[in-house]
Amino acid sequence: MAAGNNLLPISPELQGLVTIIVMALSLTLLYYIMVKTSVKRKEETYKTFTVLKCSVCEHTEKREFKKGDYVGKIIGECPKCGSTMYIHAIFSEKVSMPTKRLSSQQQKREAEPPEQAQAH
Amino acid sequence: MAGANITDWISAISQLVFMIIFIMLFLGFNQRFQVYIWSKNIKAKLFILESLAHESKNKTAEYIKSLTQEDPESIINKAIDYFVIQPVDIEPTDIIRRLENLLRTREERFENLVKNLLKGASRFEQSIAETALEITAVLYSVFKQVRHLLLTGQKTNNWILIMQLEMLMPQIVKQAQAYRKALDAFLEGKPIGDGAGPLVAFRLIRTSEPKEIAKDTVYYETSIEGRRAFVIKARGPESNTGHPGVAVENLVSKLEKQGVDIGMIITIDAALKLEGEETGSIAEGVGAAIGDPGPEKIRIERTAAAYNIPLYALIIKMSMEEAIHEMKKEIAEAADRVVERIKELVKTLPENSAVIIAGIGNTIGIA
Repeated sequence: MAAGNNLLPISPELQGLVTIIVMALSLTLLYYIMVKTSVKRKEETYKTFTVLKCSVCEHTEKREFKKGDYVGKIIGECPKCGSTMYIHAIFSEKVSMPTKRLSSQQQKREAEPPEQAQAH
Repeated sequence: MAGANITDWISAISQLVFMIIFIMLFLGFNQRFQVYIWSKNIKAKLFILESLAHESKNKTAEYIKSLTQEDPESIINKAIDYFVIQPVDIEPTDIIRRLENLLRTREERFENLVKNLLKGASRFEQSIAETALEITAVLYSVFKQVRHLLLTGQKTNNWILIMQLEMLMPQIVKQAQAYRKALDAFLEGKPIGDGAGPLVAFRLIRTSEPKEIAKDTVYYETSIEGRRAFVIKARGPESNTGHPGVAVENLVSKLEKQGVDIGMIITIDAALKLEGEETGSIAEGVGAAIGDPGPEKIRIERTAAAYNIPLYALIIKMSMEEAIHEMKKEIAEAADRVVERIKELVKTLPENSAVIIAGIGNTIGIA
């Protein structure tokens, strides 16, 4: 034992300390690897849309859902042929979220109410 | 020399610590510690369940208060604790009729509770209040059951019960969160995934007029591929599943008396997908596609068997969460594909035959 101890260039206390430091570093590395490789949850946001359809010419429009909407509700006149338009479908759809920080102008634009978008 | 003393001490203390841990392992300390950790985790999740139930109760109360001046507290508490005692099943004779009687009584009781409270409200608003009460009752029931199991496990030191509960908790919390989220969709009157059947029915009958055939259930007469078609769905756009079994039974009996040859009955419903399957995928089969506890399904099966009418089923697949949340785009788009499948099936009938199509599911947000 004594011969073995003499072969070590460092004292037993320092040896213990080095062991603890190496263990701590290994655990930190393991934790870091686990965090890095874990599957990140994607931010998914859904919005509800209402699809309007003309009862004659099949013209369709898509807009955001408004309270009081229901499938089958007569909603107005078709801008193309003047016939009645009804709600054809109401569904939620995934919308992509911005990943980078928005500038103040972009934020203002985002806050504005969306215009009616035509599906077809 | 001093260094050697310190290492000796460290060695002695570590040996002592290991000895104590070793003895404690024999005394079952590890199990107790594990049960303590599991109980802590369950308590944390139980807190989530409790807040979901409270949130749901508050939202329901807010909705009811927006429709009436009366205090909804007593009605909500009645609904939360409402129970149905299952009929005796060791004597199965007439079990469906007995179960149906209990379910109808419960349904009528809930309806009357809401009607008496919301006298001035529309049928649509009353149906939403009823559904909100049912969701709140489910959330409170889940919370109370989990709390009961945790406390029983702790009281009787039943670590297997606590372990099982700990393993099930993520699934229970996920389902409770799904119910909580479903409440928002109902309160806003948006169609839900389960409305896939009524949506298909709507796509078939858009221009015809509804006729009542059973309580909260209507049928429409239309033409599909040159054949007479009778389309059944719950009356919308209220939150309502209707009584499609009674409707099919009444309609078939009525049409048979008129001498109408019914070539087939098609039921369309939302169905739970298996993990890995795509939301909105459709499948065809035989049988009654309806997820009720039994009374409605058996009426469809018995009617089809009594008149020897082929019974087809078309399902739109989705997860449990998707079935009670706002309808997803994939599900709404699947309705058009189901219509095409119906046309394919109807084409196989002789031209003088008629078809009955039942769109099963909650018709909230779908007229």
